[in-house]
Amino acid sequence: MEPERATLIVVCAEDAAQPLVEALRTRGVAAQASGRRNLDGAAIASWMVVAGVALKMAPDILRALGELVKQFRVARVEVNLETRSLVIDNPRAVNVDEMVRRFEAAAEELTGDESAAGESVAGDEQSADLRPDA
Amino acid sequence: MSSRPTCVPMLDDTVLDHIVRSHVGASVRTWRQDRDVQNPMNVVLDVVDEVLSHPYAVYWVDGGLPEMFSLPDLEPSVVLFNTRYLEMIGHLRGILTDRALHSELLEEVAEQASLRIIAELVLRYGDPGLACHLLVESLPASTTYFLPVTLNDLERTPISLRYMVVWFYTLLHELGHVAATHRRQSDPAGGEDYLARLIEAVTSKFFGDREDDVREWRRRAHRRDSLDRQVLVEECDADLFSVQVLYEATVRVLRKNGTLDDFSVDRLAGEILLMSALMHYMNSCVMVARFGARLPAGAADPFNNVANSVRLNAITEFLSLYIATGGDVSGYADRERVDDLRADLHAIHMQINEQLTAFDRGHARAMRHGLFPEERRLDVFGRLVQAFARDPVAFVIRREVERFLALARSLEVRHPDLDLLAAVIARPTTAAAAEVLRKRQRAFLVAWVTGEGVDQPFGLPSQDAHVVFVFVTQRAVEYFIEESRPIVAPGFQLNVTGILSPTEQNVIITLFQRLPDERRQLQVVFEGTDAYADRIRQLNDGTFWSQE
Repeated sequence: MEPERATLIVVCAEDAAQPLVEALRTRGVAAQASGRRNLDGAAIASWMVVAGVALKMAPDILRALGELVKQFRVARVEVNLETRSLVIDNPRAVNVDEMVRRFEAAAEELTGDESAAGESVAGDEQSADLRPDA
Repeated sequence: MSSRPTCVPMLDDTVLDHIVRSHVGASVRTWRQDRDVQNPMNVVLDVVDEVLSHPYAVYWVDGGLPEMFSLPDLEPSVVLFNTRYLEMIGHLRGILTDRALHSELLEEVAEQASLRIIAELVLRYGDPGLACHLLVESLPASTTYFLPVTLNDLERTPISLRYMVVWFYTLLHELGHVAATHRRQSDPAGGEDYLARLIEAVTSKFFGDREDDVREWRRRAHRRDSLDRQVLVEECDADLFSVQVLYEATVRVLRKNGTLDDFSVDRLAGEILLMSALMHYMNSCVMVARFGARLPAGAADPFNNVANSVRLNAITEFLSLYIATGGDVSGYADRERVDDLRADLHAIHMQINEQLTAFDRGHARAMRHGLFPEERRLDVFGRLVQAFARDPVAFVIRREVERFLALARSLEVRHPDLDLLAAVIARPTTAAAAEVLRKRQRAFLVAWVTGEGVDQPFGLPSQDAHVVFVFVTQRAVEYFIEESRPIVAPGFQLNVTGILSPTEQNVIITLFQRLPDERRQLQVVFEGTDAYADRIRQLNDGTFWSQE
């Protein structure tokens, strides 16, 4: 994957997986979904939707996701850049908006825009768990 | 659910790496299996390639949660191969097959090994207090010590039937899920009717005259569990794929190794049945750890052990058919020969039945410690300190505690009980360790209700639990009592009771022992924790109370 791409991962309920794939596809993103099968033989407990997206497209995709989390049961949204991950557990639309702002700052840093690198947006500590894990 | 569109571009390596990291954590070392080198795993995967047309990627996971799992619907499918799981399986196998262990000793060692595995899992699931308790429970009685098996040990094992099954059975099971996802129809051994009858027979044996109650309980749970017919069909499918590929792969690997004379159809079947038992114990430890750590509802499957028995029977049936038909299970099978082989396999299984039975007893005791707080002992640290007087046991204690503390550090887990454990083993004598324990006594404050024959901890009935608050500051407990007084019935008094203990776990045990009627839904929350903050927030915004 080229450096100007990011990986979007959404952990969700089974009934949300395919609608999310379809919703992302209508926005031009080739997403895939899979249940996770554990060796212990338990019924599938978690599903994930995954897609590689161009950095420039990612904010729009995330904004669209902000709408989708209102409709579907989503446990986690995660965006992975080369060396950083942005994560929200149990997201609400407002958290996704915050993630977009964080993502844009991180992406500008990644693409070498020094003026943007130090720009940070205060997160809502009560509602968003945005964890850079570099 | 089929989530695959007709034409999906393959996920590239970076996306796959992100997926793997998302599941196992960024700090765990992972790498994709290099298919260009010559080694037994690649021989096994060559056989897989012959029967599986869907692309897949096998990732090694070095450490982390000991879990093997797959994401079969992806393009390529992703299978995670965890080295810690392998080490644990190797350790359990070493214990179970050691003929020098007589029944009572095996039982004792099985309890200790199971407790330590559950402790590690509970630590990883986020309950360090319980994890410390279970580890300490496992230590003082250690008269026989089995060194934990490392990946190096497993790599040095000569290539053999045992080597092939320990290393590859679980990997092939996960690849079996990939294979099943990408073919039209499942075909469980013996057919659908056979599986349905098997489920009924096994559940009947497990639950006896409560079978109807269990069926009703499952129906009301409104979620699929491991006894669900479709889930079992998928698991059996994956088991049988693993068996089939393993037979062919073992022949090829032994041939390459120049030891094909060591191949034996029966002995390989025996190894597979043994592996099924080991997986059962591992699954059981996972289940107990999830319940013990009080993971959210749905994270633990109470019927896992029953489902494992169904799968073991299905594997035995399939092995009989597989061997009888020379591997062509869809071809003609002489029923008499299949019946004879089934009897032979049962006989093979019975050869280790004495060990399994003894192991079961020790494992069951470990399970009870994990599942039932009221049955845990209040004096585990005291017993640990006394055990320092016995040199061989002191060696085991230091070694296991240091290993456990290193794991906690690697997970960046901090907890007062971990500090206590470190302080205790840092003292070279029983007297010094006892002094540490004495100095680390803490006062936990609990609201206590008395009157009209009642004398017990005071809790509040929330929507989903009976919650007992444990405080560490006088101000907080007094405020709580003042706020709670209006809901206490006339004739009852509410006061503060202090529980002196070096650990939070002892407070939990005490509360479970004192509240027998509330045990099934009891939640103990300690001031200063996230759970406490959540409950206080719920009390403040009114979402705490049940709707009645």
